[in-house]
Amino acid sequence: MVSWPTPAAILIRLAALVFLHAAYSAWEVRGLAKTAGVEIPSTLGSPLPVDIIAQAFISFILLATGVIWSATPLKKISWASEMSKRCIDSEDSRLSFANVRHRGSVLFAETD
Amino acid sequence: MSSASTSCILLQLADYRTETRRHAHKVVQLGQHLIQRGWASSSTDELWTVLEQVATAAVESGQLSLADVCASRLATQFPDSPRVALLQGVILEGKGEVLEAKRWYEQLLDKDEHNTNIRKRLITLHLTSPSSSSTTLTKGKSSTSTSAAGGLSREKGLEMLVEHLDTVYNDIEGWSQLASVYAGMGLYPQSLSALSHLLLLAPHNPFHLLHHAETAYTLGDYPLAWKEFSRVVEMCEGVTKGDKEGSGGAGRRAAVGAKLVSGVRRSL
Repeated sequence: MVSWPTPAAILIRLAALVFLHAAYSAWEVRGLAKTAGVEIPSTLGSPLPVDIIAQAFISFILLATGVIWSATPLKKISWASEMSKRCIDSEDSRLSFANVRHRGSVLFAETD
Repeated sequence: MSSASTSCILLQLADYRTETRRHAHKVVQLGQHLIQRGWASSSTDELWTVLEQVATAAVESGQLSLADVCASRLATQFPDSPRVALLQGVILEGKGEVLEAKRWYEQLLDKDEHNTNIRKRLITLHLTSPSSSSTTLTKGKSSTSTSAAGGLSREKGLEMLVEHLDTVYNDIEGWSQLASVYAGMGLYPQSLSALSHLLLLAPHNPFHLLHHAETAYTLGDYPLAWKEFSRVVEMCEGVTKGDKEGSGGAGRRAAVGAKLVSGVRRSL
């Protein structure tokens, strides 16, 4: 069954691609600058063009947003909320002392 | 259900392992699906826990051949394991050979007397046998006479259980079982005291408090029952809180109990 990925998954994939592209462009620009002997003025501490830095930051923010968006819903931590999900059958079951000789062998036997 | 993927089935079985509810027929059904798909020939780590789970469920559902197959598979993989020995004992119990099972467990306890799981199965064997005083009335029944001749009785089980709880105080299931054995005999004050030990060990669990409240109500101690029922409702933060189906939690049952108590108190 083919299904569309969720919007959060699409966002993660796109943002990751753009982020990697920003990293690749930064590497390429540094390599080209070195061979051409050109000194790029440093912005925010690194000698890269402004647009590459902007691309890296924005794609990172989008990637982080996508990851947080796709996280499983938070669970409550109080005992009361945990206990409200349990049912009395699971609390009183006493599995180690369970009797195995009951009518289950009659009710669920293989029908020959 | 039969079109569910293998990983779904495995997840469901893992859920059943943590849930501790007693629905053996569902586990057996899922186990049979897995075996039909030939998953049992793969050798993942999860295979062995699933085999153990399916084997115990198969004993309860009367499918002893399936249980035997799973147990023999486990025995070849883990030759001297106490867990596999326990499983073999459970299969003996399921076949109805109670004296054989008793001998098997006692043998295992001789080898290692600290194995609490084996001791608990032996206690269960005693507790699910008729009480030693009833054999005089049922002379004709062969099963009663064999179990009595083998020394299996409910009183012995009770004695062993109390001894076990003296050694291992923090066994929550043990205290719960003791309370229900006393209640089954009609000894409600003793049941209440067993439940109070249980409350010391697991104070956060509203279900145990609910059990205590209901036992107090049966005993006739209405002020105590009223206090405890209200305490359970307070612990569960109200009556209607629960999961989506609205069936979870102890609040609703405690509220019904409180209503019953208030009805009795008005008539006193």
